[in-house]
Amino acid sequence: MPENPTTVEPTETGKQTGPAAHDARGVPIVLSELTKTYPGQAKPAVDAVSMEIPAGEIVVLVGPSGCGKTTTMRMVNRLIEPTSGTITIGGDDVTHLDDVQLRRRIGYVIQQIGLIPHLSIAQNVALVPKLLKWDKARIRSRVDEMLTTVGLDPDDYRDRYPRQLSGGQQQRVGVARALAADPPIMLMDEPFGAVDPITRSRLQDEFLSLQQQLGKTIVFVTHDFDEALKLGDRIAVLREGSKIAQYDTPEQILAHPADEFVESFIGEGAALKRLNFERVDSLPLQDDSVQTRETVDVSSTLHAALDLMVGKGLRQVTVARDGRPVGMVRVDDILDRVNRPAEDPTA
Amino acid sequence: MSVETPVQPDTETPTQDETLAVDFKSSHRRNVLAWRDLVTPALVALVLVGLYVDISRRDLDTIESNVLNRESLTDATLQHIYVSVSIAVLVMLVAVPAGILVTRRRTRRLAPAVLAVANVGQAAPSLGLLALVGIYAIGFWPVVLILTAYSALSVLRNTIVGLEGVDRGVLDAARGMGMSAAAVLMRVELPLAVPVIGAGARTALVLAVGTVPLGYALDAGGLGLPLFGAIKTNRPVVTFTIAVMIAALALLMDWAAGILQRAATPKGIR
Repeated sequence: MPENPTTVEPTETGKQTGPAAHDARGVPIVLSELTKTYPGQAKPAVDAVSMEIPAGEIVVLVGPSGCGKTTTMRMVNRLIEPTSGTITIGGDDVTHLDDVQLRRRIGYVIQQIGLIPHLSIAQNVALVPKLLKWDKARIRSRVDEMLTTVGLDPDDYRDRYPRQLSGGQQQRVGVARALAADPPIMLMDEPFGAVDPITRSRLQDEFLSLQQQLGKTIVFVTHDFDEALKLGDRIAVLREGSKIAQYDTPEQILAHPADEFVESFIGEGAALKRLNFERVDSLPLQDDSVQTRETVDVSSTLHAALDLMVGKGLRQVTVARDGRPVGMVRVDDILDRVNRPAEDPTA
Repeated sequence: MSVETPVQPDTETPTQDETLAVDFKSSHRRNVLAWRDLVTPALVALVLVGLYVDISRRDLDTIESNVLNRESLTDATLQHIYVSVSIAVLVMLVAVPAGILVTRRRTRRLAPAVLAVANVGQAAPSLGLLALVGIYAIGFWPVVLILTAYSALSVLRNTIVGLEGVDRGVLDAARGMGMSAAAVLMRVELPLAVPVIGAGARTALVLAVGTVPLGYALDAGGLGLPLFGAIKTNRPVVTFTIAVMIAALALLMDWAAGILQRAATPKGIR
């Protein structure tokens, strides 16, 4: 976990001398007894949710549609005003801060992307820095930097308009825009939901490697459990009223689902999905006296290794580190691991 | 800066993501002016020149030549334009704010009342209203006010439709970025609604050009007085000429307003 600044302040003022001064790492978010009851409805849409979102982690809120996960997320930047309960960000109670000011310090990415169609890509990315009254030169260099960060060449894209970009490119701009003012926390509502599967998986990978460097605190909403498994440091499985059915790491949820609801949400293949969270080198490697034609890297997941063996009809496969064989892993080793989950990997 | 580029745009193989993108250079962004903008004025000019040639060959009697001379026609036309544009401007000043008002969350409940008033304005027979008001007041303002009430509905309706047609995701993102409600309205909603509001304004302008002649009895100026004078004195040549001129004026005003509307539309959505 990264070092936490104690306040959310650094993005707000012009104190930073330049865009490279520093990046705001994530700060923790704490929801306590957060409730939203819409007028005229007896049942609260979000019913007394309490959760701690650790600094620098991606916490995925996952649940069936209508369970209140988006409502919960939107209360964090007060696009929806909570009926009761409090939110603290980095230790500061933000429940009663000016909501417009608050939002400028929180990144926001949504499925519809919502780039402003009559503003150029550069103007879209510059939106929040402009609201924060950064000077022009700083904004310009920040825009270029952010476009580069999300994999778009600034010279090529800066002056385009949103409709001239594909859905995937638009969402990259969406992410760049959310990060532009360097907020310590980000809210993401099914951000990759509207792009094709290939682009989605690529955006997810890029997002993960970006997050590794940025260490923001991210609240990520999705209804796709596999996406939650892939992206979440922690997952909160929510049922109706945004009640937390289970809040834990992906590995723990797969290994020990709290109840039938969580199980049903994991769906089939929990055992196989678990293999995604363990690397080949977590297994005791067999000696490599028998050479096989196929090799996996030590950093591969057990899932990838098993997939390779199933696909090639092999019972064992050579494990390599930096391209040199260091041992071998057998189907049986993997099966053993599935049935005796990894509390003690040396056993 | 500690952030490094997670992908190398130059080396990566293009996937669907990149290939689906519209090529920037070949994209058909419209300019404000296009060749087809010449069609309307060309046709109108053709008709007017034809009319001019025809009339200048005729022997006109005194009544006819009192109306059909350059000076009085120019005067009447300019007055007509002045009154019509005044109406259109006034309509915008009233109907756009009204449309904004009834699309705001807090004042949304005023919508039925405001629309009802605007509907009455349009439904009331304007000729009758003009005659009625003419008993008490004449001149520029009575005509302008009555005809403003008459054509306000089109702008009001289009303002509402235009503002409500702005993509919800765009508004959500704009608010989520920390734009104030006023900033969202001024910098996102209104610019995006310009094409629709503009279309309403053009309708209002054309309506105004066509109804200003009805105010002839109130002495507001314009082409109405010579038109009705010619009808009363049974001078079909004059009636025809003025009628064609009013039609030509409506077409030209609509054409000019169309170009204005396009120029006011932000580049990214043109």
